Amino acid sequence: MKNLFAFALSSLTRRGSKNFFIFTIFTLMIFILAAIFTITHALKSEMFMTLDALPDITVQRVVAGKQTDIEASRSETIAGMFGVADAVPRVWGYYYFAKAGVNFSIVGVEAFGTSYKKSLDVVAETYADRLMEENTMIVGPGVAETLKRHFFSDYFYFVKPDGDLKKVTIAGVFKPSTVLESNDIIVMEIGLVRDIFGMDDTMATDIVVRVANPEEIPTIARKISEIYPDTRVVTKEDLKISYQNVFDYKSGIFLALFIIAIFTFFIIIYDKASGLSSEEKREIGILKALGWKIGDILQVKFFEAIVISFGGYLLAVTLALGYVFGLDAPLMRSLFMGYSVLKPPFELPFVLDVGTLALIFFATVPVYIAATLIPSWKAATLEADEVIR
Amino acid sequence: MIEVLNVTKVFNPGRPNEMTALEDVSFSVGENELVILKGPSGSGKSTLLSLIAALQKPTSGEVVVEGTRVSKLPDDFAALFRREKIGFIFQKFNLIPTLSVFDNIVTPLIPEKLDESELMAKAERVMEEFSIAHKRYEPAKNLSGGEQQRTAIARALVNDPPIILADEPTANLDAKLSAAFLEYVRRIKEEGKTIVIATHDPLFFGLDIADREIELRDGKIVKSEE
Repeated sequence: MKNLFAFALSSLTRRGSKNFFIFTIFTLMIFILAAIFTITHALKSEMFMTLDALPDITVQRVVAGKQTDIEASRSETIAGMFGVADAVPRVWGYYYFAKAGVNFSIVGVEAFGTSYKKSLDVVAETYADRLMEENTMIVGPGVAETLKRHFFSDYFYFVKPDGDLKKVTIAGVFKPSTVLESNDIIVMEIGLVRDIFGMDDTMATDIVVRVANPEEIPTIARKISEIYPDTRVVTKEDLKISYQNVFDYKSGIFLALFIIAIFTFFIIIYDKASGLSSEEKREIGILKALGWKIGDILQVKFFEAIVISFGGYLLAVTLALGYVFGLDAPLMRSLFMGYSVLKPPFELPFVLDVGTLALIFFATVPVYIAATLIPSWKAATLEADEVIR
Repeated sequence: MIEVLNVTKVFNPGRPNEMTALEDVSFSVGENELVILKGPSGSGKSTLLSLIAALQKPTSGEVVVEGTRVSKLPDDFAALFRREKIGFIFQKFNLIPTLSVFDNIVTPLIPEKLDESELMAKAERVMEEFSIAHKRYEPAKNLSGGEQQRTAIARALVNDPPIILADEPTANLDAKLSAAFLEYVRRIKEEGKTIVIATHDPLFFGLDIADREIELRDGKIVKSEE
């Protein structure tokens, strides 16, 4: 067995350039597949974690087809509806930080108050005393990092709609529960957010509604629409579908890469399975004439195929994981993230999609081994004399 | 030692290109005998050697080697038989061109469960014996005709088989190398091997060390001389 394995290795190196080419293509193909699926999986799991934290219903006021501020008092009417657990007006918005070319999400909270999201409540509670101080903010790590790069380590000047500057001190950096959700978030006292965005004290960005029984979400959403015809009522399910559609659209970009990879793979497989070169056939004939059994020849071919396919698979998966989680998937990530490149940088969360990696393994490695063994077996079962003459 | 009994070999039977290579051929070779199979090209010499080496099966008749009916052996048993009993020197040597001299020589030993030192010792012995040790790392494709010949002989002898079959061993060699081969044959015979050489090279005719010459023509034995 050891000698046969050594012979297989020497056989691979003897046809070094051809085998290196196959190994490279094989590795590259699996790398592309593994990287795509790993990014997809990491982003999907991240996205669904974020979506799960979304409110059951979001109520937005729409004027002339555009979202506009909504009266915060409407939340009291909605909260009084049967089946509604609570309704909270949100004050939030995007702030474009031109120097870095990124958008920050600014969210207003009330210290010790109940907001629409548990994670924000935790931030509000943890940093309550600092938020109560005048003109302070708690920022996500991505924001802190971006600001620091531009020499705003302790405070930042926001430009208000009327052109005035508002100095806000960084009072803390919170740990994100999920990176996509809160890496770019700035949390402030609700009045300060209104001041920065130039909003009236009675207004909110939108109202989020929590429903006690999830079965009743569509009914309550319909009732809100009926009471407030100038609103757009979006349920969590609507958002999930919308996110999923955008995501699937992005995934389509990779379909081309995927098809090219598969096509290349099948060219290799076709080449392997369509038969051996006359030189390879002759070599098998010589080995048989020298007393090698069919099983010995197939063992050598099996080892050769294993080294190329399994070696290629291991290398490709390692490179893909390093590319995605170590290097943060340059090029590919920006295609998937779309507009989010405007957000501060974040690391993809490490989520290993074992099922998909196993699927790639079973769709490639055994296929390659079979494509190597079948023609070798055909040649090995011929009479040696026929092959070497 | 070797018995060829009423052997007939027909290629492509029942087809328009049917060809009878051997017809009712019988002869035997005793232990430590040197037999020369001679005859023109296409007379069936190489086919006969292939049948003795169990590289092919006869259409009818039998080949018996050391009591084993090799013509009836299943493929894997035939391979084992070749590994243990036969050293084959092919017409064009049939070395694997990209393998080194050493690797070519040890090829018959690879499937056996030998440790590295045993493998090395066996290879060293034949490389020294046939003066090819200095080329051990050289790929076979870079060897001269004489070096290829010596490598092929070393490979045929590396597993110390009792029977050596040589198919037109001097067909591609000049007179000097052919004479050298004759010396190797002499030496191999002295080691007690049984040798069958298929050739149409007159160098082997009337050879003092040959025990018998069998002449084939159109697949039939036309003459057998002691």
